[in-house]
Amino acid sequence: MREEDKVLLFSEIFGVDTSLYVEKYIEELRSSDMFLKLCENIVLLRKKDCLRNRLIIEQFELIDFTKVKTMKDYFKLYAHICFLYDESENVAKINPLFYDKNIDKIEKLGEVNIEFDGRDITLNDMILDERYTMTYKIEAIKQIYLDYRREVKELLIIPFANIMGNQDVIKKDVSYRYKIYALLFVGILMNVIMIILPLFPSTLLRTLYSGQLDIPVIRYSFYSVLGTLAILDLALIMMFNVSLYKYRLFLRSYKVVSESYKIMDHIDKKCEDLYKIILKSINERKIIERKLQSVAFDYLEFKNVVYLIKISENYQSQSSKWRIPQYVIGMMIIFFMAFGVFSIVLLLQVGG
Amino acid sequence: MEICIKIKDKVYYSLKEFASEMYLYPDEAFCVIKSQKFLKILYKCNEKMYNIIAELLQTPFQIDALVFKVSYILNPLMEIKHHHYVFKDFKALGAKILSFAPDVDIYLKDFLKYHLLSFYMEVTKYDVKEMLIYQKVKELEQEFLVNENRAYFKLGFLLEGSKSIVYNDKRFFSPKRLMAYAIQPVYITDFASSFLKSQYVLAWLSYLGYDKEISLFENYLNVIEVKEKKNDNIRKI
Repeated sequence: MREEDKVLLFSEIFGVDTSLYVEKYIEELRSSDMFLKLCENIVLLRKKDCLRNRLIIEQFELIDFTKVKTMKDYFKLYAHICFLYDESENVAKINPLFYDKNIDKIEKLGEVNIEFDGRDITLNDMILDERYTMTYKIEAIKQIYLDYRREVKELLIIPFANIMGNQDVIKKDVSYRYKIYALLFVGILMNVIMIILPLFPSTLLRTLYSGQLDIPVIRYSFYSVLGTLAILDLALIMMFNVSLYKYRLFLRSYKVVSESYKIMDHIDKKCEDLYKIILKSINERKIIERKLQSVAFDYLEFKNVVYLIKISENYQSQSSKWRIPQYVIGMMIIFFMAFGVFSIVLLLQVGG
Repeated sequence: MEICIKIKDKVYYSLKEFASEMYLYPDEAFCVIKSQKFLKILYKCNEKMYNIIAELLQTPFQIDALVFKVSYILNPLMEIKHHHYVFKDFKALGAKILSFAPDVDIYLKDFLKYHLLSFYMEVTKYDVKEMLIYQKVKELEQEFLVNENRAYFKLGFLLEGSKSIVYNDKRFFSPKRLMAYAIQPVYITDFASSFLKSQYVLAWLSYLGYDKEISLFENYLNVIEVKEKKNDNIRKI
């Protein structure tokens, strides 16, 4: 804080109008290296879902430069940005159980930052610090471990348990999607019918397919069937392209539900193992060399669970996204109408 | 008993005479005070004075402070005299302190630092006559241990008895007026450079009873500075 800043803050306490400086200060803050770096850090934090990141992002989203009218507001905002910046820069302050090798910048468990006796230090530094008794360190680690477990509970166990309690809804959702795909199957079937139709031993059909039929009514209705079928195919391809990938992911995640007990055991075991590793190192006064990857949750399994939780949270919106688009339904109706008209005209002509 | 004390080219024939001009030659006066010859003469003249001065010499002291105290032991009925300064009363001392503001005079600071003013008040029995001011001076001596400059300027305002402050040769009667003047783009840099360092303005406000506002301001500063303590390079805007 510069000396001028202090004078302005002090002036405001005595009710002096400092609005002359507010705009200038806001512009400085908005274009400061600190704020720009904070924005970059927030982009990175968004890539990893954990309670700490959620909190920082939530607080970042509260920043509103337009609300700053006085220097007091400015300094509150400035302090807030300083705090968020420091927090977002502390890349080593992570929950080891949620370690993600693609995002987190540290590799070893001993490098994880913890808050110990009011300071941010690494686990290894805490273990080697001889100013504190072992009992004190163990008590501190117990508290930190409980925070890690709380995060696991809030981010994984509770949402997962909710999904387990709503299995019927998910099953219904799956069966609903099967029905949609059955309808799409009908569309594909119609393509097949149109392809094998000339194989029937009918002179009328063969002259029609060869384009030599002189009856305009039949010929035009046949062309309209072919035209609408081509557009329907195009619509189907577009729809498949968009939703098939998501649908596969959903099915893969859904399998997780059937292995729920195994996964819960895995989560419990990982938590306990982590606690034991840290306690052992404190007791032996040895730094922790173990890789974070080995103490974190299993990557693929974890991703499946997280995905399942996400789609479960957005159940309604996900359902509407995956429904057959209106244009596909419209095209199917037009196609069936064209096909119906063609069949009637054909029957009348054969009958005549 | 006849006494003859020679400092530089001046000769003093009585202890009172010597005491009244000790403030002009503190180092030379100190050499005289600690000399065995002077102490012997003093012992013969006034045993009580000798005992007090001997006790002062045995405890850790600062030369100027010792000279001040000894001069008032030898001659209590003097104006306030310290290190080339003479003040006819407390108001003059207060005015002198404020006249240097926002700068601090290291010799005038001695009045609080070495408890000279309270000592003077005790010697001249002023502590009984004006008990309230004496108590306030004692409080400022304690405050000096926490915030030297603020206590120093508060002493200036207390002794001068003025409720206004002079800054850039202008007199201000309200904090709002002063701050409105100080934050003008022309003056703010100059004002800010000494605002917290000298504590002149804060001392005035504290003297006027704005301690609540000052503590609110200091709390704000603490909160912000704690949050910005890390990553100094990137934080500066």
